[in-house]
Amino acid sequence: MSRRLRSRALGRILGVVAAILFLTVAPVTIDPVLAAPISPSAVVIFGGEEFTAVPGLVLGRGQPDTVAGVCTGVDHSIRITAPKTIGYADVGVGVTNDCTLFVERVTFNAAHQLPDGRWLRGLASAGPTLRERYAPQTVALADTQHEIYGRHLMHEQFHVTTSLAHMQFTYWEGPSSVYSPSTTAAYCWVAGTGWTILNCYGWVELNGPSQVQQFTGGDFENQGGSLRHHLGAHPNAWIGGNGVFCDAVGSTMPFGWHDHCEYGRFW
Amino acid sequence: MTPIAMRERATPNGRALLWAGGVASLYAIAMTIVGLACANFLTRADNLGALAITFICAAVLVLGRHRRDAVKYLVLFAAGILVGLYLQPSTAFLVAALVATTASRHAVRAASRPAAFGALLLGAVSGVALLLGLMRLITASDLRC
Repeated sequence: MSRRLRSRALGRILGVVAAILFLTVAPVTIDPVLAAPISPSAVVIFGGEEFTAVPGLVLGRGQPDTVAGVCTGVDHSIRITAPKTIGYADVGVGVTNDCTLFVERVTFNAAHQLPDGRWLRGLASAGPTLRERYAPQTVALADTQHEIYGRHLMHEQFHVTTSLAHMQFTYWEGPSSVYSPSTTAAYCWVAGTGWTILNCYGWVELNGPSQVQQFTGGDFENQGGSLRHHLGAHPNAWIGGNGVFCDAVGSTMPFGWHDHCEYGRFW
Repeated sequence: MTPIAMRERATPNGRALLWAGGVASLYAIAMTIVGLACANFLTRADNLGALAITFICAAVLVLGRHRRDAVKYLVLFAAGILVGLYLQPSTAFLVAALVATTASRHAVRAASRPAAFGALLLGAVSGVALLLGLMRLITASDLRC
């Protein structure tokens, strides 16, 4: 074998070794939040109490306001946790005519795996039946609709995005209240092979009256279990304004890497 | 002429190492320019440490590229440090791959290949250790741009 060929062969071997090291580099500080369970679960929080969402479960009762034609005291929030194989999660909370709040449906659908191995997935959550009674009675012609989004991104040295958690939703704003018709689009995303979504969370608080907020968070790692980190975005809206805040990243990353908290309003 | 002397004669002129050191320096400079968009880029200890290590190693590569004595193993060690430091799932990997390829071509022509590749490998392990050490210098809140 000539010297040139040996040189090339050694170069290739070194390249393979470098690639292996590349995929296994750097165990990092792990935030305790990463120890969250990875089986799908949905929890409804009502009256300060957490209920595991099961269809038909009665959560409690609000107070009918016959003058306004709405139920009061039925504010609640929904928290969803799902592993990467869950693509779409939906929790419906309904309310009967006597203002009894109950879990109408719980759905977890499989995620779609792309040819390159990445998972395309999202999370969504809603309380649609509630708004059928609540929102039509309270939406005034003067109320305005907005759609906002918030996302938390991890960038490498040259601002190339490697992972992100995204949440967007529409809401109505009136003179004395904000509320959301629960249109939610949330997802977690990673760039290229070598990166994995461990979990993608969703959390919604839709019913105002002073604030609506939704949250999505994700746990990510590169292949080999290193460079593990957590991202979380909390877009929220209140009477007269809206904004976003992001979680702490949940780990340290290599030099030059940085995270970015992004926010926007479509209308 | 002995085989060892022939190998020494076949040692490249170091132009490739000049390129490797130059590319690593250019990457560090470009990273700094881009990073200045974040207010805290130059206050992060890990960034400053990485820049310092990069420029020192690049200088060793450039200044020592023609040496045929023990300094050449130091050059390979410095190249290894750059490889380990830039071994990341990002654009930095391009620097690591370029330096690794260049240095390995240099090492394969050395009089003592085991010593040359040993220096390179030792440097790469040290580079990864430095990368891990730099990551310990910051907290998660320092990452916010």
